[in-house]
Amino acid sequence: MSSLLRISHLNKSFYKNEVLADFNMDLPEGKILGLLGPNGSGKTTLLKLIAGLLKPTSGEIYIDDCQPSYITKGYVSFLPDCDFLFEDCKIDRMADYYADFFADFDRRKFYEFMRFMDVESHQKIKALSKGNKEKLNLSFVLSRKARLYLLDEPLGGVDPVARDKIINAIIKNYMEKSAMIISTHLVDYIEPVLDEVAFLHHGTIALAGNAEDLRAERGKSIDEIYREVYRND
Amino acid sequence: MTKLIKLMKHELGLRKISVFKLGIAAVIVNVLFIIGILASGMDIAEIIRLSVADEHEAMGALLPPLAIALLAFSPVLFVIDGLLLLMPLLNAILAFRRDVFGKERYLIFSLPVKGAQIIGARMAVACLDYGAALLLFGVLTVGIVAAFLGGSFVSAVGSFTISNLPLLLLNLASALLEFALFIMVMYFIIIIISKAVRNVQKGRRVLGIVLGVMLFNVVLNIKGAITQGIQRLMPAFQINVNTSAFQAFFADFNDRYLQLPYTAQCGFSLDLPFNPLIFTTEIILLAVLFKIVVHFADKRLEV
Amino acid sequence: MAYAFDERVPIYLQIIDEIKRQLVTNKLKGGDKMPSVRELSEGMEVNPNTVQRAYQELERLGITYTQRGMGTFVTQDEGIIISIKEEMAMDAVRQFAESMQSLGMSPQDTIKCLEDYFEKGAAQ
Repeated sequence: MSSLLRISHLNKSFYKNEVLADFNMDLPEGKILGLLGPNGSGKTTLLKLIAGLLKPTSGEIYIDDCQPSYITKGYVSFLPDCDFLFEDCKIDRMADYYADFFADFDRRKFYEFMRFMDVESHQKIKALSKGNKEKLNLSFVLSRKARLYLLDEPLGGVDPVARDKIINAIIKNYMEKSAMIISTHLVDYIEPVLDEVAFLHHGTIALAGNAEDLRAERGKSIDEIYREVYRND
Repeated sequence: MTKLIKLMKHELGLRKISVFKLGIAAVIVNVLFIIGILASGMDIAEIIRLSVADEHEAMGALLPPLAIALLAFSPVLFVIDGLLLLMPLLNAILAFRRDVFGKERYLIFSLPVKGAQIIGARMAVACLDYGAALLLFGVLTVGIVAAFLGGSFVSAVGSFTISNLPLLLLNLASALLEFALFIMVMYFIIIIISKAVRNVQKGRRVLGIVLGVMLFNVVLNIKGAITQGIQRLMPAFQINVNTSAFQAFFADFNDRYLQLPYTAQCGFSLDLPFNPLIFTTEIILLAVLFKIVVHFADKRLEV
Repeated sequence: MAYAFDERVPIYLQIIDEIKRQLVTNKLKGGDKMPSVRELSEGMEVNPNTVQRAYQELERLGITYTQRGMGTFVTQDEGIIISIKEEMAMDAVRQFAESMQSLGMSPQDTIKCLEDYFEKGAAQ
């Protein structure tokens, strides 16, 4: 299996505040990685660095052997942890926008997602409820046939029904040639979806491994291991 | 290139205020004003003659009541037309604010396009906006007046004549250049301030904002100093578009090379002294600023 | 509908158990075609790689076999199905016996309880 994402000796500081310290990671194709940790452990910063929205202080990131740039943005699909679409637009118009800029955007798949999520596409984005907005955001991100998906807190602030739909959409979207990183602190919901997990602690990996192996080794759920790792925080 | 055009297309659709709509509203108001003046039945030719001769009292006596009422209303036209020229600036600032501070920045800076294309598209759209406003304001509003009245026309708004095209274009180009320079500096400052605002230390945040505003001043001052310096050092180069010297120069130029049919020049102009050297310097300054801003957007801007 | 897993145990083992249970209760029969990895992972809301791992294990155990280009099928070997049933029954008995033991019941008491239970059950 070839490595789709390679991160070596990555450091990121905001002035004197060190957020990531000597961070290393390898993610092969076909894997779904759970990036777990409490707020402030550096999850969002890491995803933004991979997405090319932040610049590393030092160290290297390679996505398909290419450092983050406008080229990698063509095959990395990033879901930020807030609403990032143009509020005044109608959904259909936003789909035009995606189709114009992302060569890998699949409009048919997008409308399938919208049907699956029960979101009507002839309305303005700002008219949607919070849960529907999150579903819409995710639909746009997953409707790209990207190599790497970065989902920052995809389950934050949605009701359990929407949660089920979102998890189902993530599994539906699984592709052998792609990889996905999901950051979250709501571990128990997303647990069965993950192949690999990495626990982030003060900008470094406190624990990482295959989710099934960790369960077998410790006889505990990932959620319980999570509580153990961060017990002293 | 196609990416740039797509960016411009979407940017035009996403602007908060449509200059075109506002422009059409302004034209309608202006045209209504003219129709009113025409309907009032005043002797236009005589009034123009008196106005040019500076005989305001005699002119006043000739004005019918409807025309007086309309002329009293004319400050509103000023406001509307002024707003029209301010809108592009407001639009540009709103767009920059959204790029750097809005949540949409995550999408904008996730697009597989270069920073130069994003900033280039913003610049192009802002200039298009401003050009459209200028054209609407100048050609339509003023041109319609002049065309209606067949020659020149004097009203409370100013003295109008049919402008000829090359002069109009020169004027438009230098006005656009000034505008482009101004918003380029704005973009630069907004990027610097964004870096400051995202700084975790409060002291540095304040310092950064203050420095940003100061820098804005410095850049504008440098530009002003260059302009003034050139004007002082080479006054011979200066051509004031509103002076009769330029009209004479242009009439001569037209007779020799262009032979355009026209009766008079000048017009609504923005009263910019036109100096080719300053024009060139400003183009260079714009290019340098663009390079710097793109460098910042590509290498330094974090969202 | 998502399947309720006990997340303290590797999920692929639970998928294997579930398929064995379906076999024993005749929901799955010998020669039946198994759902594809993708279908099962969507149905259970589980990572496809986990389902894949369960399928590999099932095949290693001889419970299923793969026909190239056709999919995965349940074995028609009755012996395997019977032995699974016996194995699962033994598991259930072991669990029951252990919990009775933890209540301090002797084997004789346990058998007595069991007999009483079935008699009552039959009366109802």
